[in-house]
Amino acid sequence: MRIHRLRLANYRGVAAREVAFAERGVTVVQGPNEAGKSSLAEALDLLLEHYDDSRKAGVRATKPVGADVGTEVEAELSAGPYRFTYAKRFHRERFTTLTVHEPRPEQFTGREAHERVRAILAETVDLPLWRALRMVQGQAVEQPDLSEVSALAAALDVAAAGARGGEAEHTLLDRAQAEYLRSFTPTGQDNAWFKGLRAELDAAEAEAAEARRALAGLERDVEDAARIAGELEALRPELQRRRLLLEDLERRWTAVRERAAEVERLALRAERAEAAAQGAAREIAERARLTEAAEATAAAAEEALREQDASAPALEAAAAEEQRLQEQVTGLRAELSAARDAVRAALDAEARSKEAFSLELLEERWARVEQARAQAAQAREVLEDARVDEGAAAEIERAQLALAQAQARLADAGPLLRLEARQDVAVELDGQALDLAAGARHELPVTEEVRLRVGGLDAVLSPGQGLSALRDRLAEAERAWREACARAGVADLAEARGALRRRDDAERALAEADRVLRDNLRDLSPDELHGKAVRLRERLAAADAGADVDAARGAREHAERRVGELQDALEHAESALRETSARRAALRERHTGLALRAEQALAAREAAEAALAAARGAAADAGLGKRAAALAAEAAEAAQAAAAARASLEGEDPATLQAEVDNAREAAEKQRRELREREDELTTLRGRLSALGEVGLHDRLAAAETRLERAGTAWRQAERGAAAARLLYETLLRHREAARRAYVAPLREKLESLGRIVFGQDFAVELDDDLRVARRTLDGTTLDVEQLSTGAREQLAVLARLAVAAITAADGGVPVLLDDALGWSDPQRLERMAAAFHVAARDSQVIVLTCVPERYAAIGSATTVRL
Amino acid sequence: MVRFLHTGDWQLGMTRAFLTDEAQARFGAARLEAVREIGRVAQREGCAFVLVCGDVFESNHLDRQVLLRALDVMGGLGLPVYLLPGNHDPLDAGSLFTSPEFARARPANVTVLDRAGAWPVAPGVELVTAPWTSKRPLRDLVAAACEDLRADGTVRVVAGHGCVDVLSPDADDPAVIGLAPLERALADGRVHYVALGDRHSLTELGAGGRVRYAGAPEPTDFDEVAPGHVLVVDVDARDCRAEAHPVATWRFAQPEPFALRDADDVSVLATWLAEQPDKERCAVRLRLVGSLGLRDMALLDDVLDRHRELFASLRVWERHSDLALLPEEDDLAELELAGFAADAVGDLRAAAEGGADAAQDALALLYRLHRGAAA
Repeated sequence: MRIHRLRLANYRGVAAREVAFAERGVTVVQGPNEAGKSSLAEALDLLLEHYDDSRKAGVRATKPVGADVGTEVEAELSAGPYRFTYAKRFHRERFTTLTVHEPRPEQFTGREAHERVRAILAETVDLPLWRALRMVQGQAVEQPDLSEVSALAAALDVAAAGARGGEAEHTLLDRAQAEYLRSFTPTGQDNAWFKGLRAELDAAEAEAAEARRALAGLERDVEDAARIAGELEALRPELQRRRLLLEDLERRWTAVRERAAEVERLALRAERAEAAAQGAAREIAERARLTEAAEATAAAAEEALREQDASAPALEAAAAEEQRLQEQVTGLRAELSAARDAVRAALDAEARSKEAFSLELLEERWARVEQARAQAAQAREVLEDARVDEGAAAEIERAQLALAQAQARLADAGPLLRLEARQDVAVELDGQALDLAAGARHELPVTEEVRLRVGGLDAVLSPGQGLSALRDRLAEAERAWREACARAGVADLAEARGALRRRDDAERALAEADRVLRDNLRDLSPDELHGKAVRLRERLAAADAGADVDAARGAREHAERRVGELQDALEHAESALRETSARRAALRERHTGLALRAEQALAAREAAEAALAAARGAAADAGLGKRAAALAAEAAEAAQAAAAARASLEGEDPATLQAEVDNAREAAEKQRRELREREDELTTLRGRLSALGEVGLHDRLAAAETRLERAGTAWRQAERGAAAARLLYETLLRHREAARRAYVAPLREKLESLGRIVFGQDFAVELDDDLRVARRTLDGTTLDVEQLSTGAREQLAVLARLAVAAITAADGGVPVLLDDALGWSDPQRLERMAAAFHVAARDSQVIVLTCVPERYAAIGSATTVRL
Repeated sequence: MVRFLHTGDWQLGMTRAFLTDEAQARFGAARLEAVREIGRVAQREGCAFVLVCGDVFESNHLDRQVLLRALDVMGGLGLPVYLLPGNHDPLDAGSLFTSPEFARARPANVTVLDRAGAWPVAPGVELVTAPWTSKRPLRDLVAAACEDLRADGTVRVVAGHGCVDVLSPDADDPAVIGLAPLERALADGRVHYVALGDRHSLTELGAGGRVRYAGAPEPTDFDEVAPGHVLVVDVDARDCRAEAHPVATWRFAQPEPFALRDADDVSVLATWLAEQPDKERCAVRLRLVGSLGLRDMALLDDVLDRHRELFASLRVWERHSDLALLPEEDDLAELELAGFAADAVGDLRAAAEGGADAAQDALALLYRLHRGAAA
């Protein structure tokens, strides 16, 4: 469809307007707001869709306010082979006219005109496409809805060489899917029906197997019954044979047992006869023994009495000896006691004499201690006073030497005063009277001021200042010497030396006294030593003064020897006594024993004699022999009879025979039991077979196999059908998917070629099933359309429409109508969009309504219409 | 000359898994009805007795209903009926013939030949019987039964069951019936007719027509030859005649394999099916070979579907069939499919021509679905 011209009159605020559009390329209709741009787009719909007498709100709204005039719309359009002018007036003086110019002129008015236009459009124009390619204000960023657009589909089908298929193909796919879903779930699993068939087959198989098993069990029972019946037939004669054998054996056994009893009876008789004969023989022997015993006991009694008499004298002698020895021992014990007392007395005396001697020694030691202690006390007194030791003496000696040297130096350095008396003269020198004999000389070194008074004259001599240093040194040396002497408590060196000597003497005396003390005290203190001596003396004072030590020892030794001798004697006597006592006891015992024996022997003699007398009273010795002979003969006869009977049983072994009988009886019994068991078993089997016969196992198996057959057939058919359905559905689906991809390709390619102009070389899009842009890729980044900016989305929406228009243009197509689009685009993008417009609109009609003409100024090929 | 009716292998109580419950019920009823028909034939032909040579019952372990009904029908036949235990109903511990039900319900005219040996059935006429006493006899029972016979002027009819050696596929089976000794016995005049059971096909053995299988009176399987008959036998020392009388009402049909290449071949099959009489009493097993295009395959499916309801059973014997679906250009053009569907068909076709069954099935399904769409 192409719009060539559009005219409005009395359309809302538009009194009159006529716009002509370029047949190809872009027509930009520009004008300020409310200049009636949107009315142009709206008016065409009004014209095409509504009758001139429509009372619809949209129609009524077109009436200009406050003017009672008719609203007119007239359009010149071409569509397919048709070109026509179509006009309507609404509200007042309504009319509809249609003038068809091509392919052949026609004229219509009123409803007829309206219907004719509808028919032409229906025949030639894809109305959904027309609606899809319009962009009206407010929905500018929406992508065109192309899902219902068959013109596009046709165009794309052509591009895809018809791969997409039509309704028939899609119906086929739907049916294949329905077929597929008979066996499978949408996710490709076996569905309940399909699984149910398999389950039925499994169940049928199980049932058939069970029935087969039951029948096989039955067959086994039948075979068992046959086998047992066969065995029974063999068992019965066998049992009969065993019974006969048993009877035979039992007869034999009874006969043997009777004979055995006879043998036993005879044996018993022989045994008894033998016993009687032996009894008689024993009686004879007993009689002889009794006689012998009587004689023997008499002899023994006599012997015993004799022995008893012989043992008495020895016993008496032993008693006397014992008496004597007893007395001897008693005497010796008394003597020994006395001798021991003597030894104790001697020991006491010896001890006292030893103590007296030690007292003497102690007192001597004590005297020496006393003396040493006095000596030590004296020495200590000396030492306490002595302040001079070796060091002090040496110091004094050094100080004295220094003093002498100082004096000598001073004297040598100073003047020397020499007095020479020419007559006796008394002078006073330094206050001291000095009488000088005439001719005498007195020299005095002047080391200090010297006053010499002679008469009324005082000569004062002064050594002068030159000696003062030496004098000071002298004074110093003198002071040192005095101090050393004072410390030692002596006047001078000689005194110091004497003091030192006395000190040494005292130290030596003290050391000597210490040594004496040590020697005499040893480990005791002086008090202990003294106490010991005092105590010993007191003790000795209480006792008699003893003999001397050696005498005491001699007395003691003598007493001890005596004790020893007595002890030996006593031991000897006691030993003898013990021996004698033992001997006497033995003798007494023997004597008592002999008395007892004699008594017993006498009793035995009496008993033996009584027994013999009694036996002889019962049977005389001569009768015994005759009876014994008779009994012996009888025993021999019985033994012979028993032996004969036993010999007759020789060859028959009753024990073996009995075992045979027992065995045969048990065997027969076992056989009988076995037979009975078999019969029972057979009865049981027959009972079971009879019961099972009622059940109709064969029919059950037949029914199960029928079910199995049917289930198997159903399953195999279903399985085969399912495989076919799956294969068909999946194959169709695979190809449809491939076709869809091929089909979408041209639109995508067109859109991408336009997009590259606007967005750059690295531009790609993905289209969804409804042919909408789903994702855009730019500079390697892929984004969902929803994530793009409003501007980009609007640009894509415009490009999509341009692309569709370009694709459908060859088949006539429809105009792209853009009402104030691209409000979101920046100037740079607008420039590029302009280029895209230029390219896309080469074969299609694009109408742009805008109040911002700058947006489209860059489209070089655009026709501009100003309102 | 004695005249009697020789039959066997009634297999009462047999079921066939490929029959629906309804057909199975009719099949069972028909087999019982065949027994009645045997009675009618015997009466009509003036037979002295009916001799059933084994496998009277399908199993010893049948539902008692089968037994009681069978005995009731036999009781109504109006002449002596001799039953020989066979391999399906041997005289073992579980035997039907010794069950209390049998004893209670046995009609007076029914006799079980329950021991081997001679059974006088008429003056100068004896049955010589070889009943099975177990499922696996270890010797030739018939030979054993005939051992002590002497030609003494008695007319002897041997009643046996089992496979004869000349027909047996298993030479080592100790129970096979030796034909040669029987023929010697026949030649010596010790026996005069050998009535056999076990084989369901009507069969004559040896020279002189004195050794025969009567076959099953109603068919039981597709591989039987001329089942559905009984033999009316006239025999004496000099002569023997046996005449087959049909008694069956059912058929088990297995035609030669159909070679299918195009719609014409399918219509041949359709015609064959349409021409079959008594379809509700007929079980068919088809062997189909060849290859068909999509349309012809759909045609075949239609034909089979239509007839399946008519026959007691109509099956394609898959094991012995080899029918491929090979779509042809025309088929595909007829589909008028475009776009992705056409591509999918191309894929499937390539796979189908490569022999993939699933692809063939998928194409057939597509054809069906699409035709449904077009209709």
